[in-house]
Amino acid sequence: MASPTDRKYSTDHEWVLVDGDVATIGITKYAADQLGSIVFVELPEEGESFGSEDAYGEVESVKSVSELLLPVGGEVVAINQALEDAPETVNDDPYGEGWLVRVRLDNKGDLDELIDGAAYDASLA
Amino acid sequence: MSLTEAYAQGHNDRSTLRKPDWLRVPRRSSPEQSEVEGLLKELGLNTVCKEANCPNYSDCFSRKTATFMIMGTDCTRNCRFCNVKTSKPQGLDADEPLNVAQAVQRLGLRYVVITAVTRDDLPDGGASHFAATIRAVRRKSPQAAIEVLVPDFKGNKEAILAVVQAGPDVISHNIETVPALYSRVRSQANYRRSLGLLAEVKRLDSSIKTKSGIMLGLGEVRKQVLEVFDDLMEASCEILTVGQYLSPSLDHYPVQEFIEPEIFDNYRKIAYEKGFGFVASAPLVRSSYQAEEALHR
Repeated sequence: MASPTDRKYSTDHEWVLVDGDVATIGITKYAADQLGSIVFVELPEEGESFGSEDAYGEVESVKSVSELLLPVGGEVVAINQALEDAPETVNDDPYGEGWLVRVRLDNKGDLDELIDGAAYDASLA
Repeated sequence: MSLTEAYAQGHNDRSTLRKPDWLRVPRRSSPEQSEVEGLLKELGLNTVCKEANCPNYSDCFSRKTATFMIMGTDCTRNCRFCNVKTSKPQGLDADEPLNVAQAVQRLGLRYVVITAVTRDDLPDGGASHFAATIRAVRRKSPQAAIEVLVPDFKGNKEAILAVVQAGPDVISHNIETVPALYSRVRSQANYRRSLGLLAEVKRLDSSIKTKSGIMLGLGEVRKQVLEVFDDLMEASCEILTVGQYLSPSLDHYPVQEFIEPEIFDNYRKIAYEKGFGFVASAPLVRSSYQAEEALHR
């Protein structure tokens, strides 16, 4: 199944959906599948700022732990609170209800570093 | 399965779902890992590393080593600790032995570990396919040491002989857990039969090293673990691996306990005192861990 074409992707298996100057970030289905059943998602606080490629949290599955790297720099304006009680949402709906954080972009230029759905899918082949 | 359902099913509270820091292994990529994955894909080969979702995956693949899994990815048994799917298997791939040999050659492996799913559907349990794979690897990479991690072949002596005669350096068969837990997590296996396989290998060819592994954290107690060590020694098992059980998914048997690294150290010490030739004992140890070192000790 092809990755959604309405958003951009990083080579670290994160997706970025932009609306104005706010970007919603999540991990791709590929990443979620690789991790296995996710049992804990550690997210930053609202108001925290990160640069592009900074570690902003952690996703833990039954068998491993993965750092979350922010594909674009900015200030966290929202986190997905629902994941505290239902971390498995990331596995079930990685592109929808399984979103992780929303950031206000510092620099729209960061988006140029990202690739589109087709290129991301090609990188997995 | 949701987290709430998981708790209802017996996965203990977050303390056994979230891992202690000594078990937190990041998954990284590397060019070496991608290279190994590419080669496996090209040759149509499977690894238990991927099928079992091993936490050491990135570590080993980045060092360009992997444990091949032959005879498909569908197992005829359904052990509750294992991530491999249970399903009616496909027919055997006659090219597989050669493909494994090619992978070994192209990766330049000096030590090869080959395991398989359990194939109770085959009359010989797949023993001849194992033997063919060992022979193919020997032909193409005569300098490589070969370890096979075998199923129990339902105790079939001819099957065990077929593998022994192919002449691997090490035959491994995991005892997995203490006998009291077999009915709970390994109901289609038999503790005595598994010990018997190890003893039988030694009886048939004492030059082949024997090896076994046990997982901790399934609800066993110390006394039971030490009894397994004694039973393995009595079966002439020389190499022992001891690791922490990690649940492959929320649908698998829940982790009952995270055993501290110091306890693993203590088990290593005791196992050496009992006479094992080589012991690998630490939370992330899996049966292929330090496999090459074990042979040369």
